[in-house]
Amino acid sequence: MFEAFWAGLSGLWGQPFLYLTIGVVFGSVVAAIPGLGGLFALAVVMPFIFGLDNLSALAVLLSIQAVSSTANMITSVLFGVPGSATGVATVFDGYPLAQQGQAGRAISASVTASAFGGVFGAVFLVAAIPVLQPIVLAFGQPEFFMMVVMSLVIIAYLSEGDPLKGLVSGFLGLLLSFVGQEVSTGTLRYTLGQLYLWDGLKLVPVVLGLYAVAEMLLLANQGGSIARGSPDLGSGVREGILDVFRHWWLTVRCSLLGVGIGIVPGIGGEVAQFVAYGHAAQSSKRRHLFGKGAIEGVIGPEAANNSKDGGSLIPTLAFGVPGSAAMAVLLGAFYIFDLQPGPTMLTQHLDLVFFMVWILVIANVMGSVLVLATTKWLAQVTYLPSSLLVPIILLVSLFGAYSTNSHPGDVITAVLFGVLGYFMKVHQFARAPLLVGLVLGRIVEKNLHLSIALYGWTFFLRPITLILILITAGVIIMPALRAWRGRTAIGRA
Amino acid sequence: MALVMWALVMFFVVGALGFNAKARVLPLTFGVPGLVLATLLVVREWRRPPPHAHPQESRETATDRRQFVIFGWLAFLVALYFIIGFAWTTILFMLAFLRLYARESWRLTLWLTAGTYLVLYVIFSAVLRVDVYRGWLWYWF
Repeated sequence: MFEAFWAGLSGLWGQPFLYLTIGVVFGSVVAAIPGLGGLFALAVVMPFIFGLDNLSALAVLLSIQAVSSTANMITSVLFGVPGSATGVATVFDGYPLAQQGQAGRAISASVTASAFGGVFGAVFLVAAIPVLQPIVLAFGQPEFFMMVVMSLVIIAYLSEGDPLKGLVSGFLGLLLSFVGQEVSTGTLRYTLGQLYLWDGLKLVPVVLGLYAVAEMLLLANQGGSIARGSPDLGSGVREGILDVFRHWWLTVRCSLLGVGIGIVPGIGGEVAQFVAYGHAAQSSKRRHLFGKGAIEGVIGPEAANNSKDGGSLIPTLAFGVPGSAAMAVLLGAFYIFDLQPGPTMLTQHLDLVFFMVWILVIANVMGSVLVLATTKWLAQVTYLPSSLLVPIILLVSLFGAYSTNSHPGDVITAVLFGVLGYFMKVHQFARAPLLVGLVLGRIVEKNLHLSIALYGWTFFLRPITLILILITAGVIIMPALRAWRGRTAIGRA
Repeated sequence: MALVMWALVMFFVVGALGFNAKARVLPLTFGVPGLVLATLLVVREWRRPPPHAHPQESRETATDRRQFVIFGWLAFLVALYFIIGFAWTTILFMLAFLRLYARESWRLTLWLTAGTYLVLYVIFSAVLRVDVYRGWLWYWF
């Protein structure tokens, strides 16, 4: 194992390191553009890898994937516009921090947490190699279903402001997830006679509309700039880095959550950020600050976002089952270079596995340093007049929405959800529960039907499913218990 | 806005009644509680005392006017996009918005327009071959 460890590192010398650097820079720039994201960057680069050797190709692809989770928070913090669907949770507290003139602190905390999470995920990948098989094979549809229900319950705590309005948003999001063709019967639901809606609402245009278009409409309406007050960028950057160390235990827990969710194929990175955010909010003594600029609300999702990459490599390498859409692209690259995922990858090509671990570690650190080095300049953008930012970001959003599927329907979706998101924010309806409901609703339905078909209604009695039910019950009961204890203590005093 | 949310949830619940048994399970499972909550919200909002007239009313009218203008620009952007396509929309919208709405100088307007066009259209579309929408006029002619 040690020989493979050093062989993996030595594989980086020369051309692979050059392509790693190219991947870091390219991935950072593309992922920072709303609507494009890491998956887009991977897709764009794929045609160019045919002329490369396998190490260089893996270096560029994995480095893009590693840094995209880091870079997509830039617009989340600066403009309240998620760079991709995995950058949404960072908006909740990152953008309020930027509005308070603390963009530098928010960005540096994000990248430091991202670097930690990315390295953690890579190290976990190495540690998990001997025990991979039973972990991944133990998860089936009932476990997926329960995991998503658990996520939905945790996310219920995300509803900032009026809880009743938040719940209505959440239920609307769940209902929106049912637009399209129902999987088991093929019934068309809520398609309004439009072929475009047969596949359901696409996530990227909805995210761009709810957050990018809506925020730009709000910004144009209010005028001025994103941030108010005088900037304090120097100490802010240092402060953000120190914040991650102050909250080191939260960073570790959220990194673990990210790895755990990344390991489970089909759940996706969108879930990791929300689960981590919900956990950070629930476990914090300053819960009332979440949604208004709590630094933990930035650290948690960013650590989970990056650590999930290491986790999602586990089923990809061990079984050829991609842990996420990006891993599916990577799997394609494996087959192009005649690399077979599976037991042979872990026994005969362990040096290649360690090579990929080193790429994740170095790319995460390099990407974080790159963003940190430009943080002061980036934070200045929040002080630009809104009239300069609004047209550019609106155009970029439409570009990003269309690029998803090259269908003009996505642009209409983005605009309609932009108008909805604008009025939701004006009338204090939280948008996060709507988005979470949309993402998780599809997964819930698919896995519920499969669970019943495969195991009947007794699927709840499977061991891991029971554990997840207990955790979910704990999530609901613990805060109520804590509140009751607090009232009892006050009563005694 | 509460009424709009209620109407949207109601649309999904009523729509679900027309589906077969399996297809309507989850829409109704989530739709009915959602409708109950939305109804509670509408009642709560309706029972709130109406805001009294105050001196800020003229400021709120100005905000409504600004909101109308912003949505007008959004409609203009979308119309341009679908008629002439993304490339020309980038140029025309940037020029119009920066000069007419933001009232920026010609120099800054031209620099920003050129920069945005360069990044979005030249680099992503022409070099990286990312597909951009060309507009109804291009497809018709």
